Amino acid sequence: MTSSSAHPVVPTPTSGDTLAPDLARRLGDIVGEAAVVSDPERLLVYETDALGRFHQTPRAVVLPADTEEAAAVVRAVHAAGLAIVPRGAGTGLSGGAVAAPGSVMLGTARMNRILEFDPDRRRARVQAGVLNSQLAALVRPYGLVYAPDPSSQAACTLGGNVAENSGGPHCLKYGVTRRYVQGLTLIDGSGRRVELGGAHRPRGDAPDLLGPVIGSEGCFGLVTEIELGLVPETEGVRTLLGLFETTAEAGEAVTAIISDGLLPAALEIVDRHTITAVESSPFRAGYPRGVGAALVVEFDGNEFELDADADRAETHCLRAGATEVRRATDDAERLRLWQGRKKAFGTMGRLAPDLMVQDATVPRSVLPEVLRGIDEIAVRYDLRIANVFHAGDGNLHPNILYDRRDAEVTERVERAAGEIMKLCVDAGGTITGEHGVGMDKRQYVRLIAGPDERDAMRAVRDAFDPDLRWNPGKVLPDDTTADADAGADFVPPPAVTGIEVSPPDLSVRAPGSVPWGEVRAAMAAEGQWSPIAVARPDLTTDEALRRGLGPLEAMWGPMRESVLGATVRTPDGRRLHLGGRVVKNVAGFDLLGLFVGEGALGRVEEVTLRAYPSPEAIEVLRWPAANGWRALPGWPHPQVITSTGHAVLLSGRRAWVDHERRRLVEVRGSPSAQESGPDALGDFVASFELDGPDPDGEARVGDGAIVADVRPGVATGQGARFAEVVGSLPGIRWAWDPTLRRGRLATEAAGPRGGEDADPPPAREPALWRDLAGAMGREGGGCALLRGPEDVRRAVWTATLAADSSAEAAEAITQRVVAVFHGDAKTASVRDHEAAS
Amino acid sequence: MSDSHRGGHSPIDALAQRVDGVEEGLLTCVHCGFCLPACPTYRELGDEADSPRGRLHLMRAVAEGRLDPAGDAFQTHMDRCLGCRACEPVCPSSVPYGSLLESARQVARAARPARERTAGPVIDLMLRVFESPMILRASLTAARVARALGVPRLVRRLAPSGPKGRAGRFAAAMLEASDGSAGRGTRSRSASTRPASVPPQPEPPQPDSAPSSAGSAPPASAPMVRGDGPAVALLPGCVQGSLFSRVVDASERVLARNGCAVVRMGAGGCCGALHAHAGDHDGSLDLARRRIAEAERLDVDLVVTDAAGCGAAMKEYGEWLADDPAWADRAAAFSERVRDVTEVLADRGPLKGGEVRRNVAYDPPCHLKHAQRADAATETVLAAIPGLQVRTVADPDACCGGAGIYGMTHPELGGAIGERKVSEVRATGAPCVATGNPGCMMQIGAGLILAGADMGVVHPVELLDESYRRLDDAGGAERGSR
Repeated sequence: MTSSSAHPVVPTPTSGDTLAPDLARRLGDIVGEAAVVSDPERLLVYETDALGRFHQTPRAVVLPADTEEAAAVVRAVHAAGLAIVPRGAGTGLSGGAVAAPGSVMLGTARMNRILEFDPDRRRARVQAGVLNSQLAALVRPYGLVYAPDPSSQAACTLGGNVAENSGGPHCLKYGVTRRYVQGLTLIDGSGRRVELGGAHRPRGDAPDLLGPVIGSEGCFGLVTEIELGLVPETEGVRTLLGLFETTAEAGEAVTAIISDGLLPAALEIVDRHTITAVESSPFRAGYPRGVGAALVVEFDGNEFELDADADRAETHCLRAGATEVRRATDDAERLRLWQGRKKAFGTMGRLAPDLMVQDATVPRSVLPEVLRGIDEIAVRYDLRIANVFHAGDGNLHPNILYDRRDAEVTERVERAAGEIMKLCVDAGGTITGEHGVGMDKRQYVRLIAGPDERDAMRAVRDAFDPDLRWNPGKVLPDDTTADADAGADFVPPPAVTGIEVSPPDLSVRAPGSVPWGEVRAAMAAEGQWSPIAVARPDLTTDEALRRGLGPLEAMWGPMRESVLGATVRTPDGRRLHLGGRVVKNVAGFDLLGLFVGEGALGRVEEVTLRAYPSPEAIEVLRWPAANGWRALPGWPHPQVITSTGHAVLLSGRRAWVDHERRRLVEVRGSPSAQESGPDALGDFVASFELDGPDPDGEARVGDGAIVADVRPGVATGQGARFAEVVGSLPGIRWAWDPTLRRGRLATEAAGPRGGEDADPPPAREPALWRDLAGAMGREGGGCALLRGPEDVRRAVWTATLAADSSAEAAEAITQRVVAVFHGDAKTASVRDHEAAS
Repeated sequence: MSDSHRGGHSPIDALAQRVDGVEEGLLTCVHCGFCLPACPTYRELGDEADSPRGRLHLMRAVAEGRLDPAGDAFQTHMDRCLGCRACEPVCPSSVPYGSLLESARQVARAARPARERTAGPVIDLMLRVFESPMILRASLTAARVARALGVPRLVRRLAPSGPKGRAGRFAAAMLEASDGSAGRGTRSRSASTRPASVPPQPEPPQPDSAPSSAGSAPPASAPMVRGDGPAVALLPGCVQGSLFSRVVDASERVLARNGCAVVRMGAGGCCGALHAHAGDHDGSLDLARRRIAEAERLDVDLVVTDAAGCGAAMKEYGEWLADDPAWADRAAAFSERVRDVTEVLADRGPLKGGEVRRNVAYDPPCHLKHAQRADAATETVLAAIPGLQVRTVADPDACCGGAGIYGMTHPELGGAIGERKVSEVRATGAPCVATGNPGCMMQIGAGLILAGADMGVVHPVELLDESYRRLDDAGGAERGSR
């Protein structure tokens, strides 16, 4: 945080750690001389991040202006055999952006352009150096919001947000960064450009690589461009401030609010010490002094429901012991309340010269007892702990105040920090909810990941970066040392025997073998719901998890966003415990996305799912639309139009903002047919999926059908145009999602139910698919085959490769990742990554 | 050249103490990075070393002995800072970046001889010139003459291409812009040579608000008739008082109209801001003492200036001289009494003027907005002009790049920063732009001239002055018609 006269002396770089002249020249040619910093004195400013605990100057800093420059830089550095460390704005709190000795630092500060913004489709494409607040400011006048709002949003970059899977106070309701990343451009270890997600998913049957990259802390490569989703602004907002005598009481109020089925947009707690710091700064928020804890509760949604929500929350606060509950009466007051919370970390410099920043997450249901435990640790070690945290997620920041110049206190602080960490993990939590592991928490990774899990993370990382160039010395602990497994700290969670629903935690645990319908019913009995509810009840939970969510992805993200943790069985027989039981978890590399959704790599034996309070009603509208496609004027997105002429409005704007509690679909106008209930929604999604055996034995899409996802590029990206292109193809049914800009195609099944002739119908001709894939690929889109015969697969792949050379890089990584879990490529279980550090 | 020491410490020790937060409980940087997006040089270059956080890091490294203050890294990056202090309002720890920068500049200056610093000899010469009112007045008079003869335009045409030529062209454009117009654009009405007139007062007689000539020094015993408003000493300032004498005249008139008794401080008296910014510790303190003594001789309530940069400096005399036992209290008392002219006017109303139907763009000077945190008063002043449509530029927090002679010492960077501001100004579509600092007026004006734009540049008080004049003229016309 701050330096003192006892600042450790940083060794002057030796000649071995300076930039070789020819490499310097090469880099200067690529980005311009002014964008290469190699003077050791100038490099001093890059030696640390916002945490300030770790200092290391890089060999050089290079600042490319776009993807091409960045890729060329990486290739040059790779050829020179050097490691690379990415850096955004250096606002991180885990040491993740601190150089490895001798490495070249790649800064994204000059990649600060917003490339595309499509308000109608609620998406934007940005370079990695764009600030979070920059994007938020751009989209606000259009009634849109970029939801993840970390406290550092005024200064942090979106690339950094992707690397850390950043959250923010509003991620309780709206989710973290990963939910909003629809695609990205990654520069891998050898400098190849890889496109992930979005229009690029070369093989529908391959695992989703986008999930693991998000939150990979710069260890998988450099993200240079990101495609992000935006959400509509709500009609209104209500902000409350509850004042309590202890943080534990505030925690009880939080638990009560969530258990009651309310889902505020944000729930934040600041404690006594933090209030003191904030109130004596220019950012005072009007928090009263002498109070033990303040709880900020914010609801957003429709005007008709907000006051009722606020009243209920107020009652819970008072019941939990609040001495006072205030409401913001105008925008200025509301902003002032938030200003204090957002600047809290910065103002802590007023309380003490140094700060041990912590970032643990616990299940919400144990929040009160954990808070009491932390208070007890503070007393026992005689330390001041300033706690400011996202109570709604159970994400705590019990920051310890001290003066680093006092060695005795420093030692006490380190022991206390370790105890706090163990307390949280033992309570079912994890070691980091949003700051990431970086260098700061490497030693704690063993608490939440055993040797097998760490091996798997290491192996997946190697699949992205076989030459081990990216950000060495981060995230994974050094398992080469003698005491690597001493203590075997990771304790797997107790096996789940039945279905365990936990309303205060908004989560449910279940075995993978249990029929999904039973899980869904158990959740409903406790007033809980998940978007997976649309899956067919007769599937096992494991099978249900291996589907897509279809058009519901527009609202809730892909399947992986609904999964908090899982115990999986890999094809080569290993059992891995992935993720956790908390809603915010950035501890280690996130491999969950490889095991759920389409292309899942293994079987799920146990799963912890994310839940929401049940909607009060679900209604699905269907009405016939003549001529297959017609844009419905006046109806907001998203809609789904099927080729059979049915149009389904999935959610109007009003429904979006209150979908967790009220209706999934809003009724407007007079529909010609109306059904209700989760099954109807399931039927609809199934029809969109065009998949699965029909309950009556009539295959909707039978064996041998060809099923593909088509993501058109710009030219065909309009639904009507898509209908023209695809509608003319014989024997193909299709459905189009305007929000995701994705079409799902399916042919009739082969065999008696489908084709009648000996000759394959035109729809099964490889050439047809080759041409389609080629056409989509040439305009920047893609065609991903989910099911189909080998000759069609090859045709599609060839066409894809011809149109987009980066597909090859993605395919290479995919194959390596798949191999990790098939035991084909024997990965050395202990690799000497850490040799450089 | 040796600089005197702050309370007995070397410049590096002084810097070390301040950065470490020991002295006066000043806070240190927590490295959060909130200042980066606010910094014009960081936005332009993307290099951490050109951000406030990076510069503080370099200062700390010097204070700890890890970095040589004579080396390129420290010198270049301290030099490149505009001193706009836009980082201060967004800092959650309230790091006093402006004063830390001045300490750092002292260190940088002491570490390297003039000829090895960017434009070192030129700057040193300027600083010496600015310390002598007589020489200063003479040089600026020469500049005014050159301006009137059209020399700047000639220089602009004939200057060679290349960085030196660009610097020369820019300097010439700055001088050209100081007469209030850009190109053949709308000239500020008050750029005329109308002598200051005593405004008609329905109230009890107002004090005679001194003739407009900037050449007369106020005798210590000048009689002053007090009205119902404060007695104010108006600092004409060095650049402001000669190249922008019309602005000082306007300030005097509008202050008098709003009930103030105005007496002018000596022409050519410099406030020392330029010296502080350049790291000339001795020079800045010397000038501060002179101004303080001068103000004490005048029996006034407030010390007023219409140049935001001077106001910011004078408000900090208390800090500058805090370690000088003989002057500490006097300086603190002086600083307490310093106001920008808009602050005084807003306090007094100001009186509404006659209609001026015009669109005007407004850009707040950094030293009014970030350093003094006093830019709200300008709004009040402009609101007293009926019919005036004020459009604040987009991104008003951003510096125009007019930090002293930055445009000449850093032509490319200053040019890039200035271009951003100029395009925001032009984007308002207004025919003229108002800003409250001579440096900004010249910087923006020069940018407009070089861009071939047809826009006038005025100081907000000139608009109020014009508004009052119209009111008088209308009243006179009425009387005449009866």
